[in-house]
Amino acid sequence: MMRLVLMVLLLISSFVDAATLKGSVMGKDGKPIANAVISLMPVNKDHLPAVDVIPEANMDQWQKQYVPYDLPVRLGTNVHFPNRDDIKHHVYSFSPAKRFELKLYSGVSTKPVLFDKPGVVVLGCNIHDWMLGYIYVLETPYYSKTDEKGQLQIMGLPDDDYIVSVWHPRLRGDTKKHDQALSVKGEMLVSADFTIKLKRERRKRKLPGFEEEAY
Amino acid sequence: MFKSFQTKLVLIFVVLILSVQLVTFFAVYKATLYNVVEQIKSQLLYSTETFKRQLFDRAQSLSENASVLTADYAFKEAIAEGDYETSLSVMKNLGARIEADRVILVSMDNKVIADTSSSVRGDELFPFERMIKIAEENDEAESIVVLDGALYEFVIVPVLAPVPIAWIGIGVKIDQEMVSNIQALSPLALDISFLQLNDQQGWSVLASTLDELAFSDVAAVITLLNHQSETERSTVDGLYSVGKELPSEARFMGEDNVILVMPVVTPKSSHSVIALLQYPLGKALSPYQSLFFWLKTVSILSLIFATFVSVLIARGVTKPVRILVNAANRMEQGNYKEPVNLKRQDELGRLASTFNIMMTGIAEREEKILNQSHHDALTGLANRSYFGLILDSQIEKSKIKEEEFSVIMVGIERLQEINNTLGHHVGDHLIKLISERLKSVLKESNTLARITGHVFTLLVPQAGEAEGLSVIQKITNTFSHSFSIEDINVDVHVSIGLSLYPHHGEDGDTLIQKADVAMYGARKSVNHFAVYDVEKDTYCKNQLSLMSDLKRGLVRNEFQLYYQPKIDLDNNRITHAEALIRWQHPVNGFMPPDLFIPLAEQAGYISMLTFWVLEQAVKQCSSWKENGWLISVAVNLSVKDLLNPGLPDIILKLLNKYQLGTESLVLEITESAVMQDPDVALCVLDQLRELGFIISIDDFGTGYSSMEYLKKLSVNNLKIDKSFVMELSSSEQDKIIVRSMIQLAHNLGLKVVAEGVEDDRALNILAENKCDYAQGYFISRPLPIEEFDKWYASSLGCYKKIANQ
Repeated sequence: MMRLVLMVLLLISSFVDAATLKGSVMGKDGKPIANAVISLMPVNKDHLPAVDVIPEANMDQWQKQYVPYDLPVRLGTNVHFPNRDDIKHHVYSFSPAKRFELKLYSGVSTKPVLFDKPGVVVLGCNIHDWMLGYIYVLETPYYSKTDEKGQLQIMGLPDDDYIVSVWHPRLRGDTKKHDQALSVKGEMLVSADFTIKLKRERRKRKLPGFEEEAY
Repeated sequence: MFKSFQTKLVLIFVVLILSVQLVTFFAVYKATLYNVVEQIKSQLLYSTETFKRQLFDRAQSLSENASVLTADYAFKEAIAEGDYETSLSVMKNLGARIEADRVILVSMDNKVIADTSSSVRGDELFPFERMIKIAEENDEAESIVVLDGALYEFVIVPVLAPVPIAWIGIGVKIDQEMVSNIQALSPLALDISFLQLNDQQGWSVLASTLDELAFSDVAAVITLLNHQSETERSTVDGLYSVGKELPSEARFMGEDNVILVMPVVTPKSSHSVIALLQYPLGKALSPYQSLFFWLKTVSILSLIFATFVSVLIARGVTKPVRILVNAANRMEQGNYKEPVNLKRQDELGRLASTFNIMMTGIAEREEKILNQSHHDALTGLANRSYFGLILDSQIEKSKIKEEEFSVIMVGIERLQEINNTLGHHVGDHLIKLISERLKSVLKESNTLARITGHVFTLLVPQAGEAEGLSVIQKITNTFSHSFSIEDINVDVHVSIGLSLYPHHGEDGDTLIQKADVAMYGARKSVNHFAVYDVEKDTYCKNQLSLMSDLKRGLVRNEFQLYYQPKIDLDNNRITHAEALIRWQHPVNGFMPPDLFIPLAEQAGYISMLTFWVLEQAVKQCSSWKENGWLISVAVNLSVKDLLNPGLPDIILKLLNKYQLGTESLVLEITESAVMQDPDVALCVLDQLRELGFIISIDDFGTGYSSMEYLKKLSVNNLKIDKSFVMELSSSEQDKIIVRSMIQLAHNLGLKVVAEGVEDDRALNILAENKCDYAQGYFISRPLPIEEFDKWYASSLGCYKKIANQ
């Protein structure tokens, strides 16, 4: 996390005159939607900056939950799955973007998982069925996640023509229908507002001896 | 059929009670039935809830099992990897573990990936998309489905990894075994059937606790279902919801059932499935069968008891009536000894005492009448009818004991003459005295009766001829001395006849008749008694046939008149002839008038006979007149003739018919004939005399000749009986008697005829004594008409000429 912040700070410093996008994601009911990811993809993929350092990210397991709920990462990120609970977890994914499993372990897993294909990777735990986490593997480095107010800010956007997309683990329908075209030139503030519909929040059936868990 | 009052009464009671009981029974039955049906209906509704709950619980446990099992990591892995074989084997394993009959794996795009009961994969769409939609919302969907013609309880849950990567459908068959289990858990042992109703194929049984369901039964259910409106059914939302269920009674499976039809909502609207819950009424009523049994038993018992009581009551009411009826019947049969025993204070009691008074009265009067009818008023002896009864009972006794007995008949001679001369009161007194004397010779066992005015009969039991004769001897002895009445001594002569049972007859009438015949014969005997002798009985054999022969004889001209001439002693001329009837019986030959005249009198033919004789005689007279012969014909008149007031008229008409005068006929009568009923006889005689007929007293001297009567009779002629004439020539006594008679007659102005002239001397004596006419065999026997005519013609009507010849 610290690294990411550091990296962003670096980016801001290097592209002083770069543009900033302010985005918001709302529900049809006008309520803000948190944990939505807005990303900007240059129309020409060749404009994507090269990855000089292999980025790393963490997907914690804490209190029998994946934290964060969803984690957007750039393609080629090594994600660590530190187990901060005092029980074992069995992290797995059957998603085409990344199939893997980290059998019963506790503490920090020995080795991070490299996400080398763009797409959504759904994380489950074979021991705790309700545990659900998402890793959103993006080709672009221009993305951010909304806060509780449904707001986000992406800074340091170089001049280019972009496709602005929105994603959310429970987004209903095709993501592409929300795509927006955006051109950025110089230091400017642009905005991208999305109104999306979410699928209902899944609730796991209560199992004997357990409290109902929400995710 | 129900004539008796008692029966009617009992019947009314019984019908009343029966109808009350029937009404009660049916009221109880109907009420019970209604309650039972209502109870069953509510229980059925309750059971329906249970039934639905059970289905739901099964689905729940199925889905829970499914969820746990779908969490199997290897399974998820296999699915994620698209490893069909592994997936299927896991599914089969899964199915076996939770006893599922079918497991289907469905892709997120709704295609069947794998199916434990089918090899199809990949292309085929999962048929219950609606369930998936629900499962998307609820993480599970449960429904009853029809799959490949079988009924399943079906659950769909997602395969989560951890988001859904596929759907797994798990089905448990609802088959007979399962519905039986549901039935076993149901509080009411309902029969449960699941039926599929298809528009084209009709219906099919998917599962049932019943072994068989007939089409007609299901048809009835469908009809019932159709009553539920379409809207009602279409508003049903959600699985396991059903339309408004209303239990109904239906004739179903050949018996009355309370049924309930529930439409089962399946995810495919084309699959119309119903659940049919039914409970046979008979089963519901079975706990009440013993109640009905006892109700029936109590009804029958109380009916029997009520019948018994009503019979008793009816008897109580009708018993006095019956007693009275019985008393009336007894009275009808002549039993007055038993009074009506009915001690009651009511109207019937009073009726009964009135009955008793009436009974006593009738009994007294009847006894009096009976006594009168059985006894002779004068002597107090048994009369003829009573004697007949005694005789009959004696015959009965003797028949059994094989004993003889005697019937003795005692006839008092000349009683009529005594009555006539001394008066009836003397006669009556005499009869009493005679009865006293007869009683004195009787033994206790003997019965004495007076059967006619002058005839007594005596029944001597256990008496043969010898004993009978000894009794007769005693009777004869008692009559040997005279009776003294009012200072007059009267000699009484009796004739006695005896008949014996069983030799002379075996019935009372015959015995009396035989005794009578014997008595009749005894009159002429020296001893004045006789035992019946069949040889001498001319009456008995042909009497009956003679009566009928008599009538026939008249028609067939079997009768003939013979004429015996009488000569006028003054001039020896033949001036008169007596017409004497002769009967040539076709079988028996010549019948003496003494025999058939009394018969004709008895049979009532005598007037016919007399008329015949009169007509013949008058005709003959007329024919003689034509010849110039003046001969008067004497005709004998019977007693009965003299009692016929029309006689003078009849004779006159006859004479007119043949144009003859009254002088042509001489009417001969006997003294005794007049004595029978002097008043009428004298009246008739007076008329005849006034008309100019010559009346002659026949057989004079044999009867109880009374000079006074002779005077009263006012006859013209007097005919001296032949008994005085036949021996006239030899008997001096007879000469004196005849002479006196002639003188007496002449003195009274009568002409004298002598009959029975047997010889010349007698004729001369009569002539000397101025007798007017003579008749007898010496002159001529009675002749048939041809001979008479010849005889008369040859004598030219003058007797002397013949005598001279």
